Amino acid sequence: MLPYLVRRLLLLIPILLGVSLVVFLLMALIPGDTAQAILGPFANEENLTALRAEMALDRPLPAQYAAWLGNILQGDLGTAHSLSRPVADEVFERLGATLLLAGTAFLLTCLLGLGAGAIMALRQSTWVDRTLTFAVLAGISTPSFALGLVLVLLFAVWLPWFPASGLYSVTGDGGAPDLLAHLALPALTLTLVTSAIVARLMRGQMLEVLRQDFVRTARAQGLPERTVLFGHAFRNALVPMIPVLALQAGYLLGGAVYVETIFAWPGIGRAIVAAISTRDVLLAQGCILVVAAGYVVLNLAADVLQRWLDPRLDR
Amino acid sequence: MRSLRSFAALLRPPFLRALCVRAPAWLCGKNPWRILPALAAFLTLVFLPACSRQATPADTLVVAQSAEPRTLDPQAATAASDFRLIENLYDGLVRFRSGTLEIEPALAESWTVSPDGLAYTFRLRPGVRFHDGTPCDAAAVRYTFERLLDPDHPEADTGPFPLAFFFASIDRVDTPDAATVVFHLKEPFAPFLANLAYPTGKIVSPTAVKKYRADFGRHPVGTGPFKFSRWDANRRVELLRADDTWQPAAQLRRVIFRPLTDDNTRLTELLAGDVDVITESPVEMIGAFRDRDDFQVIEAAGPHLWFLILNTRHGPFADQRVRRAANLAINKTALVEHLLQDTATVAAGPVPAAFGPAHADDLAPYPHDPDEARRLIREAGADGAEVTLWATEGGSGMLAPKAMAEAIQADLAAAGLRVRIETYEWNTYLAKVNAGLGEDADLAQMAWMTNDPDTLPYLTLRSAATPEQGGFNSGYYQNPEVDALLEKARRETDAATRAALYRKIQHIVHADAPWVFVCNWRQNVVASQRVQDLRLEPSFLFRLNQATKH
Repeated sequence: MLPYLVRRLLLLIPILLGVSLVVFLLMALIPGDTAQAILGPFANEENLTALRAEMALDRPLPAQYAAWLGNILQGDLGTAHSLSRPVADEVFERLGATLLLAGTAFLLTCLLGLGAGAIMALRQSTWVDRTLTFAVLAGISTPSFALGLVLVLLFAVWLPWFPASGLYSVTGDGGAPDLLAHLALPALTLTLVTSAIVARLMRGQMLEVLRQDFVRTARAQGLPERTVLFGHAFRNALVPMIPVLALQAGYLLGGAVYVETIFAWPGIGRAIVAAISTRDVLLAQGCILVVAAGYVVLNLAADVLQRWLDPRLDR
Repeated sequence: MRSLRSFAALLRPPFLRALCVRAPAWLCGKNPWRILPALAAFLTLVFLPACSRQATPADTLVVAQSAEPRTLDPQAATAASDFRLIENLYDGLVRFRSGTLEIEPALAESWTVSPDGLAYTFRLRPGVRFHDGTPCDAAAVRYTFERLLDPDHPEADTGPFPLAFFFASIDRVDTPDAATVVFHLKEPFAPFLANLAYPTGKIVSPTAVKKYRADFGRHPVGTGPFKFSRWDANRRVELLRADDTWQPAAQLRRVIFRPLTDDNTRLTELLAGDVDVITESPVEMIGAFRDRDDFQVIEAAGPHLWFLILNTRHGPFADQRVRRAANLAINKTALVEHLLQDTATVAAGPVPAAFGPAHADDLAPYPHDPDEARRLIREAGADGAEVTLWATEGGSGMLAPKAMAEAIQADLAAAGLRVRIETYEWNTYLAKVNAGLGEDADLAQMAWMTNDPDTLPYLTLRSAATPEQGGFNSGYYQNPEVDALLEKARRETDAATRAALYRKIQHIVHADAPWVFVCNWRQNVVASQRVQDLRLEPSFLFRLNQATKH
C-alpha cells in the first residue's frame, strides 16, 4: 500500500505540470491579449507595447512558461493583474469558500444520495421506489443554474427565509448562523443534482448485492434483517460507490461554477471564469492547479479508501 | 502495510455501524416516511436559527455592481465599477456640477488660466485634510501628478497608469506656496479642466501612497465624503461617512459595494431587499422595473456615442452619397425603442447632448428614409454591393451589439447593400478595429464614453489620427476644415467660443457622414423606493453624499 501511495503521489507532479502547460497554451490560444484587457479601449500601441514589455508578455511563449515555472518552484504564484493582488491570497481565500460549499454539499450528497438509493432498492417496485425514481430523474435532468434560480425565487424572494447570495450578510458581523443561512440554498442546489446521480447508481448497486448468495446465506443463518441489510448488503454496495462519490466531489470542487455565480459565492470556480475573461493567465493557472491537485488527491483518496474497505483489491 | 490494514479492520465495523446501524429501525418498519420529521428537524436545527432575515438598515446603502473593483487608486483605475467608489472616496481640484458636465470648484476654491492657455493657477481650499489626517495641500496635488507622469518618480512603479495620457500636456507643476498650484502645459489644452474632474485627476494622500505603495489601491485615502473602511475580497467594499470634510457631511453612515457578476443575482438580491441599488441592468430588466411602485429606475443621458465607423478609403463608403444613404437607411428609432427598450436616444452627430452648449441642438438626426437611401446608392452605382460589418459579442458601452448588427444588416439590405457580419470577442475586436478597417471591412461598430467634447473627435476624426499614426481614426476620414477647427477648439480657453467651434464641427461631420450616428446611451441604476436623492450624473457616476434612505 505504501509504495503504491508514494507512486501515486509522485505521479501528481507530471500531472500538474501537464495541466499547467495545457492551461498556459489554452490561455495563449484564446483571442485577445492581456495588455489590451488591462489598458482598455483607450490604449494606444505605444502604451500596449510598454506594458507588454513590463509584464514580459513580449517574450516567446516557452520563455514565459519557464519563468512562471521558476517562480512556482520558489513558491511564488505571481500577482493577479485583474485584481492587483497576489494570486496565492486570492486562490487560498477562494479555496476556503469552495471547500466549505463543496464539503457541505458532499456530506448532504452522501446522506441523501446513498440513503435514497438504498430505500429505492429495498422498496423496489413499490410507490416509494417509483416516486423517488421520478424525483431522481428530475434531479438529474435539472440544470443546476435553473434549479438555483428557482430556489432563490422561492426561498429568498417570495418566502424571505434565506439570503439570496453571498457568504455573509454584508451589513452584519457574520458568525456561524449567518454563514449557515447563506450556505443553505447553494448547498441544496448542488446537493439535489449530485445526490440524484448517486441515488440512481446506489439503487442499482444495492439491488445487485441484495440478490447475492451471501445475503441469502445471512438471512438463512437467521440474522436479524437489520444486520443483513446494513451489516452486509449496504456495506458491500458501498464499495463500488466510492469512486462515484469521488467523481461527484471532484465536480463539486471545480465544476460548481454556475452555482457559485448565481449565489455570488466567492469560490474558485468563479475565479477561473473571471480570470479567463480578463486574460489573467497567472490567476487562471493558480486556480486550475489547485483544483487539479484537489481532483487528483480526491481520486487517490477514493482508491485508498476502496482498498481499505475491500482488501481483495490489493491482491 | 499489514499494520495499516489491521488498523483499517479495527476501524471498519464501528465506523460503518455508526453510519448505518442507528438508522435502520424505521427502515425495516412499515412506514418509511417516519424519516421525514427527523430530516425536517435536522434541517431546521441546522439552518433555521440562521434565517432570521431583515432588510438592510436605514443608515446603510448597499450597492451591487457587476464586477469586483480592481483598484481604488484613482490614477490606476479604468473601470466604471472602480470609478463609482473613487468618486465617493476622493475629490479632485474641480468637479462636474451636479446634473451637467460643466466644471465647478472642489478642492480648488478658484482658478485662473493665463491668456495664452499655458498656465492654470489653482487656489486651494484651506484646511482640507485627508482621511488619514495629513493635509491636502499644494504638495499633495503636485505629488499626485508627478507620480502619474514622471517615470523616475520614487512611486512611479505603483501603477500602471493607463489613463496618464489625459495629463500628457502637463509640462511641470509648481507650488509657489502651500495653497497655490500652477500647472504649466506644453501647449494649450482646453480639455484640461474636464480631465481634472475625471476620476484620474483625483488627489491622493502622499503619506498613504508611500506607506502602502502598490497596495495603495486596496488601502485608498482621499478627502471625499466617505472614507475607506474595509475590503473583503469578492464580497464587499465598505465605506464609512467621513466626518471632518470640507463638504456638508453625508446623510448615510455607511455604503457597501457588492460584486454580483450575474445579472440575475443582482436582480434577485434587489427583489429580496438585501441590496438597495443595482447598476448595469440589462435592458430587458429595465422594462419590468419601470412598471413597479416599489422600485425606481434612475437614468442619466451621458457622454456616450454608439456609431458605425465607415471605411472612407476603400469600398462603397468612399463615396459620400453611400455614407449618407447608410445613415438614412438604418432605422435608429426602431433600434432605440424596440431593441434597447428606450435606454438610449437617437444620435445626430459626434458630440452627445450631455455636453450641453457644445452640442448642436439645431442638428436633427438623419431621418429613416429607405427610398432616398436606395436612390443614393443606385446613383453611386453601389446597388447590390457586398459589404463587411465588423461586430462584437459585447463590450464596454456596446449595448446589444449582435442584435443591433442584425437589425442594421436588414435595414441596409432593404436599401440595396448586402451586409456580411463578422463577429469577434471584445478584446480581439478592439485590436482589429483600432488597427484600421483597411481593405477587410466596410463598417465597424464602436462606442465611446468621454468627458470632454474634444476627446472623441480629436482622437477619431482627425486626418492625422489614423491608426498608422497612432490614432483611432479607423475609417480614415479626412477633412482639413475639421482638423483646423479641432486644433482651434482645444486651444480656446473661452468656454462659449469653444462650444461654438464644436457645434460647427458637428454640422460638417454630420454632412460628411464618416460614421452612421446611431445612439447615445442613457445609463441607469435601479433602486428600491427606500432610497432617495440618489442622482446619477451625466458622467455616469454617482456621488452618494446627498442620498438618504428610510
